[in-house]
Amino acid sequence: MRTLRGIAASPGFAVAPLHVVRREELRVEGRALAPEDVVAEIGRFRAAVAAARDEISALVERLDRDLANGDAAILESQLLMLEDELLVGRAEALIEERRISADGALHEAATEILTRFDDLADDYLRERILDLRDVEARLLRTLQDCEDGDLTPPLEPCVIAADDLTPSDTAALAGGQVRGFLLGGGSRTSHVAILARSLGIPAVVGLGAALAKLQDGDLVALDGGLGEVTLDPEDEVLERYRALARESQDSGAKHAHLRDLPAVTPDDVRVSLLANIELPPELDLALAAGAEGVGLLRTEYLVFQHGTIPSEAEQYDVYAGVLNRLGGRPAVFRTLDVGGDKVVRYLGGRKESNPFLGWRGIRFLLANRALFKSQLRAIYRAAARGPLQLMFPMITGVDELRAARAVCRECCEELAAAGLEHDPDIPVGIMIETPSAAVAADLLARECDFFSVGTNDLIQYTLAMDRLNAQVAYLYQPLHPAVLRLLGQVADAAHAAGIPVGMCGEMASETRYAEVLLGLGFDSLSLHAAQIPKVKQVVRWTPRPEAEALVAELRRCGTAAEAEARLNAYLTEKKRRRGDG
Amino acid sequence: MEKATATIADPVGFHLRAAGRIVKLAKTFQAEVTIRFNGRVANAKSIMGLASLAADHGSAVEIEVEGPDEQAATVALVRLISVDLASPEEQGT
Repeated sequence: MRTLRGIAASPGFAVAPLHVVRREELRVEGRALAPEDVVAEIGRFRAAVAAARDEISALVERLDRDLANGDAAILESQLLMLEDELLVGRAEALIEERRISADGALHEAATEILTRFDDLADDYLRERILDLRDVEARLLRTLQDCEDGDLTPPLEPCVIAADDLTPSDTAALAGGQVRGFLLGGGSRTSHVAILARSLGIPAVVGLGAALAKLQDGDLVALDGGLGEVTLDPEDEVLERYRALARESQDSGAKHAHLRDLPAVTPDDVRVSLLANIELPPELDLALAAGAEGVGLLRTEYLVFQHGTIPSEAEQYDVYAGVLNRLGGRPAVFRTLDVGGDKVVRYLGGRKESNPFLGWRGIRFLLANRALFKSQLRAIYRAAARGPLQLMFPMITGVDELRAARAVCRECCEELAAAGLEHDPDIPVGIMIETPSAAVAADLLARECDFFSVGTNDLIQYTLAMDRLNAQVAYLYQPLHPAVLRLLGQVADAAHAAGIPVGMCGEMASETRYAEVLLGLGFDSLSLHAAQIPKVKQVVRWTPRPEAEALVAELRRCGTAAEAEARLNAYLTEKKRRRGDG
Repeated sequence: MEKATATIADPVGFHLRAAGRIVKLAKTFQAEVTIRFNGRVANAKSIMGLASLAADHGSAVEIEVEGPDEQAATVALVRLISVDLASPEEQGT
């Protein structure tokens, strides 16, 4: 038994044999052609282009039906590449002039195109390389007469392992019995990760070279929430994971009766349980899980899924579509949170030595006014279509909040002057994710309508631990005394000012902390849809005074470990009391 | 030959999506359409060519159109680049 650690990209458990996807290295031969073969070679090349076009069109159709319109858009631009003279015309010219075989000509034409992007060294470029190479590989496969141009969706339950997957590979696989994804490369924001989250399939990415040693058929147990993969698991581990996987599958059924019940404690304290959403297809999962609305709508993926920023009108369509789908339930729209691990260099971001302390969140938005305003205008206009709240990321103090609200006012004045329907009175709140915002929460509370605590960043900044650095990962301690104090302080400041306080960070998705958050006084929790039923069950079982007493005890603990041990004791005792096994 | 200058209305400039719309429009005309920006040249019927211009929002690109329908093509392209790119593509186009 061996355990690999990667980046937790999509939560959930899976036990299944591996299905290793290794794209054969496509060889480019570039054979010399006899003069009389040139015409036939061009014909062969054109046939490959036509076949590729059919394959991509079929994938686009499949995706349109399933989900993720963003993927369809990526593939549609690949279709235009197949008509591009720089690629296709140039390759044909090379076959003719140089008398080299189609594969060599194609590779050269693609390489020439990529050199045009050389001075645009950024993420945007890398994405385009992947798109263009995806098209090239597809053509090469057809030319070399490889079988299965597209990966076949697996028919048996399996965990897919691959170094990386192109958009079209992911699309092709997603239809089958995929129980999990393991990737050598990638990040939380890579394509597969996003797709996996939207499908509710666990995924661990960034596993590096360790992945190369894995064999087809190896049994693995995977915990997408922790980013852990157990190879050749012992029976005991296997059983545990199987139970967890079953539990997460069954929890829908087990908690189905809770779906339409409110999250209310026995002493009648109501806690709103909302969902964190990144892509529109997740909305349906969230509603099915009984979410009362969306507590955190991350707009980055909605906005960037096409590799560019859409116009105000396009954003409006997407946002209004989200509200439509929610049918009157509320949604908190967080304005673009780029920077940090979400660098978008084509927007002017640079490589920073300390991206988490750099140009991100509201700092970026205030500096990119046109972009900020196009998003705000779209949000204010969409607000006329349903209950929408606006939230700013990475606020460190009152000055940023005021500056952002001034931009909001400006947008509303413009919209009013242009006679465009909008709602200027939507609640405006802020993320509390910096220690400064938490410490100065009382000042911020006077100037906004709600708080939402982002625990990932708050913990990272408070404990000075880089959450992408595995060596300090142990310091991710939600019950660290400093973190607990900050959380309590934020909740108290909000209530003193009469505004609601919610949490939308990972801590809210961890069922074991539900009582703690209840005891701290959080009014709403926004979490992964799959966890909503479990947290609702906890809320319905726990009187507020009991949770408050627990928090009081935890706050007396000197270390996170002591607090966790105390919490464990409480949870075990509670389980015994409920006879819940 | 028709020449014109257009200021890019798309909030991020000529990235793939905007480039795709220009390509689709340019292909409806017979005329050859060349777009120049910052010393780079691209055929407007080539998505990778347009994307590699790296022309940002608000930058002025030069359009050169040559062919039987050059006037109509120029008017349509200037309109797309300087006005319509600010708003989404309509369904089905």
